[in-house]
Amino acid sequence: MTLPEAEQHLSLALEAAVARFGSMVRQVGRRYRLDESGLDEVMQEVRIRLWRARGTSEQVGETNTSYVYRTASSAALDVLRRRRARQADRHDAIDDRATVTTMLTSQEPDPHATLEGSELAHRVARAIDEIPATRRAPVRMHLAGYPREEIASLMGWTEAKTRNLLYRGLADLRERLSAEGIGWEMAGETN
Amino acid sequence: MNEDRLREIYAGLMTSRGAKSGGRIAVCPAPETLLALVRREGSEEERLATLDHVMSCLDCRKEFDLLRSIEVAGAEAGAGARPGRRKWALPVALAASALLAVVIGRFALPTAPESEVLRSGPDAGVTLVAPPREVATGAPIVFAWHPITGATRYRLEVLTDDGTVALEAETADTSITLQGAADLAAGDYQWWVAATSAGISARSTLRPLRLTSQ
Repeated sequence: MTLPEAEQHLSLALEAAVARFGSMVRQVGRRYRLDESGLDEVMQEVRIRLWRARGTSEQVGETNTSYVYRTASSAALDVLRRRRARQADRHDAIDDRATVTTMLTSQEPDPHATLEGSELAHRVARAIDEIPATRRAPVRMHLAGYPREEIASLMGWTEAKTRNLLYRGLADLRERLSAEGIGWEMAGETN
Repeated sequence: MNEDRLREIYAGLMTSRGAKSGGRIAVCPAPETLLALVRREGSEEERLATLDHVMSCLDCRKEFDLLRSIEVAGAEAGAGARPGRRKWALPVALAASALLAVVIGRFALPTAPESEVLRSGPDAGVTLVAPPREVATGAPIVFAWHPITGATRYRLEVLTDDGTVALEAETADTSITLQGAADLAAGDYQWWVAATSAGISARSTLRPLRLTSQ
């Protein structure tokens, strides 16, 4: 095999390994309604790292799923750190502009602020915050749309414990909402 | 109020929190903390606190979903760390064994002078990949090596010809660019990598590195 052929062979092997693992992550991600733009960035980073680390014939043999997974896990942390840093920079810039804008113009109503400012949303947020800590996180996860099995798997709880905590957490929430004067329809309730 | 309406309001709350904070809340947990949650590492109390934040912060939730998708895909492929294992048990046992060995060795074996301390040996396990043995001075150098199963951190040392540490770095990755290498004078060096994670004792052999003037 000539050097260019070997390079091409290595390149194809790397690309195949990255594509294979990327496809597996995408498949899992669909369960979580994953925002795939982040994943694309991570897989690109994985591709670069594998390419940089290439160079020995044994590398080709080690480009298995386990290696790609480990690289992806490490790359994901770096991508998240970079994204946060970019967000912080952007936020600082927006803050600077916002200060000037506020001085020059009157503020337009922000739809997000309107939503958050609504009394109902405030009362719901307050009611959730008052749920005891052990039940609050599973309730939030449930309200965010995660299935009960997912909560159990993440926390390492049995199905029965998860159901119990969720049931009691939602009961706490209903009680607090009622105390806030918000009535509850039983239809559509989970367990 | 019913559950659908409640979820709708909750989704609105999450969105608006993200927007209000410019996409980030000051107390957002670090990416490593999110990974610990996904891997079920740490106490339940800590994980519940992290989860409580993640499920009320749209940005953290997206990051959590990304990390979780990668971990679950890795686990389903038989490559990921199994969440929930008592990961402290093995490192504690190994650490205890290592401590015992050090204590016995301290009294039973003659002490080697500092200059003779063995920096690599027959149990070397980290395979070095880059840089090549000869590199031009004046530029950062990318160091790379193969991963060691179970290792979460690596320590890299670049030594001068007389064994003095010229550069050192720690990383969770299997490659690192040492900016400080740009300032190294031309000459002969050696470098090596050790996995520093608890319970892992893999290390590389010393590899020569010659920096040549441009």
